[in-house]
Amino acid sequence: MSPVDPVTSVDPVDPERSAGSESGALLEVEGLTVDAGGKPLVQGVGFTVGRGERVGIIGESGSGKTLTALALLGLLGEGLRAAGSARLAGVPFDLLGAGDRELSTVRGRLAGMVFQEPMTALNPVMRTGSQVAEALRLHGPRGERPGRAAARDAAVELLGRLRLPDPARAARAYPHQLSGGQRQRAVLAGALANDPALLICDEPTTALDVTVQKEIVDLITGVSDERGTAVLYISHDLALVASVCHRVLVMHDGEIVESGPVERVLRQPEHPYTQALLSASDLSVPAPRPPAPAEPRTLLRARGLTRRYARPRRGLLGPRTHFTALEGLDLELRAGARVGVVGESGSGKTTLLRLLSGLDRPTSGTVENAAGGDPRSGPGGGLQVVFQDPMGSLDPRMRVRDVIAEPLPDRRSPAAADRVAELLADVGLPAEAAGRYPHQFSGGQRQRIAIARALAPRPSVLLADEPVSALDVSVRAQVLDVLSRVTAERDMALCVVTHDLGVVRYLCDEVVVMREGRVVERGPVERVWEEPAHPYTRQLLEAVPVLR
Amino acid sequence: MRVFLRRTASLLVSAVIASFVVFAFLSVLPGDPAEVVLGTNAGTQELAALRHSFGTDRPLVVQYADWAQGLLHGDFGISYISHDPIGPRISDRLGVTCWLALGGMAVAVLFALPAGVLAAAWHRRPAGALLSAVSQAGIAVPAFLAGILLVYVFAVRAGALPAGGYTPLAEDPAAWARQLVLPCLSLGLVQGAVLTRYVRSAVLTVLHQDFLRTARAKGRRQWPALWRHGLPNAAVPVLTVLGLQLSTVLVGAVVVERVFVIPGLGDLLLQSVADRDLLVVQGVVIVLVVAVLVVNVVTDLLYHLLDPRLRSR
Repeated sequence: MSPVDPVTSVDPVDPERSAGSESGALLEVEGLTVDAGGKPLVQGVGFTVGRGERVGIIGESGSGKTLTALALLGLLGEGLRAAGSARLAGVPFDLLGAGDRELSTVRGRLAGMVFQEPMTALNPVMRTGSQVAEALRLHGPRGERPGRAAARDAAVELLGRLRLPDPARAARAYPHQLSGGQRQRAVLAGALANDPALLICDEPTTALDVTVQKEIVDLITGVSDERGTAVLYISHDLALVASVCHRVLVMHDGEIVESGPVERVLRQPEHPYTQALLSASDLSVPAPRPPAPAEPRTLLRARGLTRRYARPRRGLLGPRTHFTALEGLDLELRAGARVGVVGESGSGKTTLLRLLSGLDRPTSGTVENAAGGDPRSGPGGGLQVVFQDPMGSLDPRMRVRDVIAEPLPDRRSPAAADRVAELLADVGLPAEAAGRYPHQFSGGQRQRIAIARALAPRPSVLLADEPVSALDVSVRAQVLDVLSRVTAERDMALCVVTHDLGVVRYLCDEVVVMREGRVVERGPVERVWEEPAHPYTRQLLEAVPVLR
Repeated sequence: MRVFLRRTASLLVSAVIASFVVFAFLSVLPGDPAEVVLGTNAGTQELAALRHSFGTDRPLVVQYADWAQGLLHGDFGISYISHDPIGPRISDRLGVTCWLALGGMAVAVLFALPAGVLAAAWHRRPAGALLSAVSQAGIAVPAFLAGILLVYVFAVRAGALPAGGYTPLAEDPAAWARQLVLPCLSLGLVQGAVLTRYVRSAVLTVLHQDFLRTARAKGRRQWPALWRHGLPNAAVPVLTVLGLQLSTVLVGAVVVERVFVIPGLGDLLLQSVADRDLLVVQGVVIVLVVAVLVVNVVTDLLYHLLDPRLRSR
């Protein structure tokens, strides 16, 4: 991969000279512990990675999977301390005891790392090509390191190999001029520049669209196969790990609870946690459906919805151009209906939700709201919205009781208190939750609070914008079940906007597939899954990793 | 380039508005220059004659047009009191104040950059806390007090540096430099303490950014990563404060000029206000306004240089 031959580099660590471990494993970790001021976050983690082997670490947030990876390269944040031992073949010292100077000869040369958030992983004020070239110019004996121009050319070549369209232009671009997938390729290029023996990937595709995720994952496995690069792949997505890795480690509360070949662990999980995780991530059996109301009333009808945004003029007298986020969309929501709107970023799905809820006005087209509550004055009693991020959508200075009671006419009355208790019970939270603040709850609990808040004014339409994409797998199913149950009990219409096809399949009867502001396909969920008519729908469905 | 043109255009508009406001204010204020010159016992005819020679008997619009047109040619008019042309007086004084302001800012930056970066990088260590505490204390000290203290220590006690006065650079560079040291220090240390706080918080923010971790994952060591990737990003918010401070220092050098008996713009301003030499006041104020506007435009252009995200808009 590297235009600079790694074999010729001979400073502190020489992969040819020092044999590393006896067993022939590339990476050997024993008794890895990470603690924050005495509080253990990772405990006694031990595993090996063979040469060219792809090992997955599966776990939910807080399981310690990212800390484990960061500890290996000495990249832990301040206040975190790692202990134990980690030997990498070709490195004469223990990675876990080494200082910054020693580790800097390993990082980027023998072990590369790719991070979760491609939006922030690159320096915004430095050209992308220079950031890739940097990895080349940092390693190798002084005097033999490539010059500025040589490294720049090599970086362009590297970006090309990672299939960035027009690599020369991408190298000159600043990160903000590239898409998320393109940025992640650039980060990957930096990590692979010196042809490392080990590539550590920390949720590298979690922030990306499914189709882009597939491209990046194919790229990683391709490089691994071609160059014999071992991969340590960290993810919360079991199906994704299954499609990438040979072997898998399951982490829970800072410990490895189960490990083994992917096939074995996913087919015959031994540990109860693995079993629970597996059943929670399986959304292929749809949630129980309510019987459809006899004569469903139409609650919300959108006709020819179009939304254009004016782009800033280029220059004082430049022509005014527009960006069409949504074009000519028709949608009807009847009582008891469950509609899923699916699309990738930029498909217009969030714009649609904003228009339906009256948070934004269409450029043309109409929204007829028979649910009550005027959509033009924002979400009213008849129509409520649950938003994506349960961290940001609840006022941190309001008690749960006040959050839920806010839309009620008489917030301080005993009747309101009763209603809050009833709603909390509905979403499966204890009554004493009312007196606490949002930050005292986990993400899944907060999203349930958000649902309770949305239900408070007794709406007949519930709109949900990516209601579970910020949540862990194990709570995802709970939240979806709550959504399913409460809407069924009330004969409400539910419209879920999401990028996650699994959520739609689990929750919805009808699906609308969107791309670039237009509907490409719509129909009953079963039909669309079995016989997708549009090539884009097929592409989407194929891009989703599935557990076989 | 387009940004440059746009910002320059808006600078000109602001300058015109400012000139108008300055003129309007000083015309509305009571105090007839002719009365000031002749005293309260002057006869009406003498007053009228003097007003005519000053041109203050003309309609305000004509006076404004005349003044503004003069400004365009660098002509600030002739003082009512000393009968000197005002332009050269202002430019002499402006030079002095600029040296003082630039020197002060140089001290501030030289102090604040290392102190701020270290305070951020060591924010969990006692050394970092100490730096923070020192800068905190520095903010609380007014510039004139710092000046008096510095004079006491270095001029009165140690006798190492002159306590005040000013020699033009062209006359005697050594004396010029010696006399500027204490004023620049007293101006700069206080501003530097303020700036340290901003540098520290900007660097702290940057320290936790993902791209710094990416750089280290590529093999950059901790400090070089901060230097190459962190500081260029921290520079953007710091620049804002720096621009504001330079404006403050230009306008606020008055106090330090008083303490160190330096014939700067502020000194001229105070003196002219006391003398009711309104045309001089008017000139000094407009020069300061334009200086602040220019600093703002330069800050803005530097933003665009530092942050490519602003450029591609």
